[in-house]
Amino acid sequence: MIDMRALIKRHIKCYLRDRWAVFFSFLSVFIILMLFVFFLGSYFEDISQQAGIDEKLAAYIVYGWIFSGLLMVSSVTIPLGFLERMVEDQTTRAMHDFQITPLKRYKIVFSYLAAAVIITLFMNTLNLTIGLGILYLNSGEVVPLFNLIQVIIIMALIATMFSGFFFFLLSFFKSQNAHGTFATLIGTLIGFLGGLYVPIGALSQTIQNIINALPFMQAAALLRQAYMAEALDMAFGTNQAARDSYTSFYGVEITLFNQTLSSHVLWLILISLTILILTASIWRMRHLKIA
Amino acid sequence: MIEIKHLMKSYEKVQALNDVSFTVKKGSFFALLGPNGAGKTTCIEILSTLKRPSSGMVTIDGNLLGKRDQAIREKLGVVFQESVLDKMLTVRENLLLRGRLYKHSHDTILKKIDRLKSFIDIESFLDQRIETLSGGQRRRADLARALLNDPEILLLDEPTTGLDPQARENLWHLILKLKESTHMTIILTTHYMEEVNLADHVIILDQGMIKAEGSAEALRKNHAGYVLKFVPNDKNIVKTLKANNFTLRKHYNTYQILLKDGYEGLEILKQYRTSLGDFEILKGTMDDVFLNITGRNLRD
Repeated sequence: MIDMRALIKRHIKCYLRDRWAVFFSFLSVFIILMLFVFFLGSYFEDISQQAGIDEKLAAYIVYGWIFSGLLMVSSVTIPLGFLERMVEDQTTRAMHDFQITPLKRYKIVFSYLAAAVIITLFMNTLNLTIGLGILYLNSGEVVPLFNLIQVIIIMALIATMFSGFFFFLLSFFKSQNAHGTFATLIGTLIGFLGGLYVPIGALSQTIQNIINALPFMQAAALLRQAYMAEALDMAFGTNQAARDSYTSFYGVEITLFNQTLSSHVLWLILISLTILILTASIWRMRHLKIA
Repeated sequence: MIEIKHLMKSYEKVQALNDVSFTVKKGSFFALLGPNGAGKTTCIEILSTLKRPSSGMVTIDGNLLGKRDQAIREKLGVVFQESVLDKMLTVRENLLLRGRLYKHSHDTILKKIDRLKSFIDIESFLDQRIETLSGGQRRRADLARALLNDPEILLLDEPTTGLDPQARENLWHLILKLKESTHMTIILTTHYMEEVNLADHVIILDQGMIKAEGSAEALRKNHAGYVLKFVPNDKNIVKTLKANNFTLRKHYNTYQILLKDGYEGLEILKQYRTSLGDFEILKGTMDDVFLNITGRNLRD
C-alpha cells in the first residue's frame, strides 16, 4: 500500500501545484457565485420576502440553497478537472514511468480514482466550511449538526460517484484537447443541470423530466434537503402547500413524470449508481491492458 | 542475459519489428542504431514490459516476458526518449516518489539519492523543479531516476536527442563512467553514429529489420572500409573513374570513392594524381556503414 499511497500523494501534489488546473476546477463555482452576488441573489431574496419571510430567514433559505447547489457543482467539476492529470499522464507517456516499476497495473489506475475522491472531498470540505461561514454572517443561523453530517455523507457519496463516472469516461480519452473541450461543456451545462442558473420549476415539463432524470439534479436535491431542512421548517412551519410549492419550484424536491421522488428513493438511486459506476470502473481497470 | 527470438510487432498496417532476434550478454554495452521509425523505441518498449510483442519470445535473465514481468521490472532502469519526470515537482521529490514505487523505505531512498547526487552531479539542482532545469540537467535527473533501483539492465532510448553538444558530451561521459564502474548491461538506442563506437555490439535496424550486426570496428571493416575523398581538378575525371567501375558519391563539391582498403586509394592517387585536387584517404565511418547497408543516409 505504501507504493500506491505515494502515487496518490504525487497526483494530489501535482494537481495542487498547477494553480490553473485548480482555478479551472472551481471556475463554474466562481461564475455561479458571481451571478448570485451581482444578480440572482437579490432576485431570490425578493421572492422570499414576497412570501412573507423575514430578511434573515430569507438569507438562510437563499444561501442554503446556493451553497448546497454549489457543493454538487464542485463535486462534478473538481474530479473532472483533477482527472486531467490521468489523461495528461497517458498522453505524455508519464504513466510509462510508473508502469516500469514493480507496482501492479491496477494499483496505478486505482490511484487516480482514489486521489480524485480524496481531493474532491478535501476541496468540498473547504467549500462547505466557507459556505457555512457566509451563511452564518448573513443569516446568523447554523445548520444543525445532524443535517451537517447528512450533508457530509452525501458529499462523500457523490464525490465517489462523480469521480468514478469521470474516471471511467476519461479513461477512453486519448488527448488533452478532448478533455479540455469536454470539461468546458460540462462546466457550462452544470449550472443548468443542477437547477442553479434557472430554478427547475421555471422550465418546461419536458426539460424538467430530462434534468430530473440525471444524477446531477438528484444529487443537488438530496444536498438541498439536508442543508435546508431547518430553514424550510422555520420558513413554512406547517404550511405544507407553501412548502411544496417552494421546494418543487427550486428543485429541493424533484418530480419525475409527475411522481415526487422521496429522499429514500434519491438515496437508493445515488447509491445504486455509485455501485454501478464503481463496478464499471473496476472492469475498465482490468481491461486497461498494455498494447 | 537477454534473449530475443523472432520478435514481431505490428500496429495496424505498420510492421514496426519484423523477425528481430538478438542476444545481449550480461554486462555488455549494446547499441541499436537506426533512423527514426526503424523500430528502436518499439524494441525498448517491449523490453521494458510496456508493450507486448505481436509474436516472438523475450527472456531476461531467464524470466519470460509476459509471464514474469514483475521480476523483469525489478531489474530494469529506463531513460525514455523524453523526460517523464513531473515538471511541477523538484528532482528530489520525483526521486523520493519513484523510490517508493519500488517499495524502498524513505531512509533507503535518501541514501540512494545521496549516492547518486555526486555520481551524476545533480546536487546543485536537486531542489529545483524539473520545469526550471536545462535539457542537460533534465537528462541527468532522468538518469538518476533510472538508477534509483540499482538496475542490472539500463535501457537508454535516444538519451542525447535534442541536447546541445556540451550536454551531450557530459551525458556521454556519465554513461561511459557507468559502463566502467558497474557491471550493468546497457542497451542504447541512437541515430548518432559516433555514439555506437564504444559499444561492444551494434545492431543496425532499418524498417523493423536487422540489417547488420557486430562490433562497431567489425561493421566498419566489413561494410565501410576506406574512402578516398577528393575535389576534381579535371571535369572528365569523374566520368573516367565511373568508366573504370569505381563507385562514386557526390557530397557538395567533393566526391568520395569507396575503397576495398587503403592501398587501393594509393593506387588511384598514383594513376590519377594530376586530375585530383585536394584529397584524403579516410577510414569509413558508421555513417558509411549505414549508407552501404541500407542504401540511404541515417538521417533521411
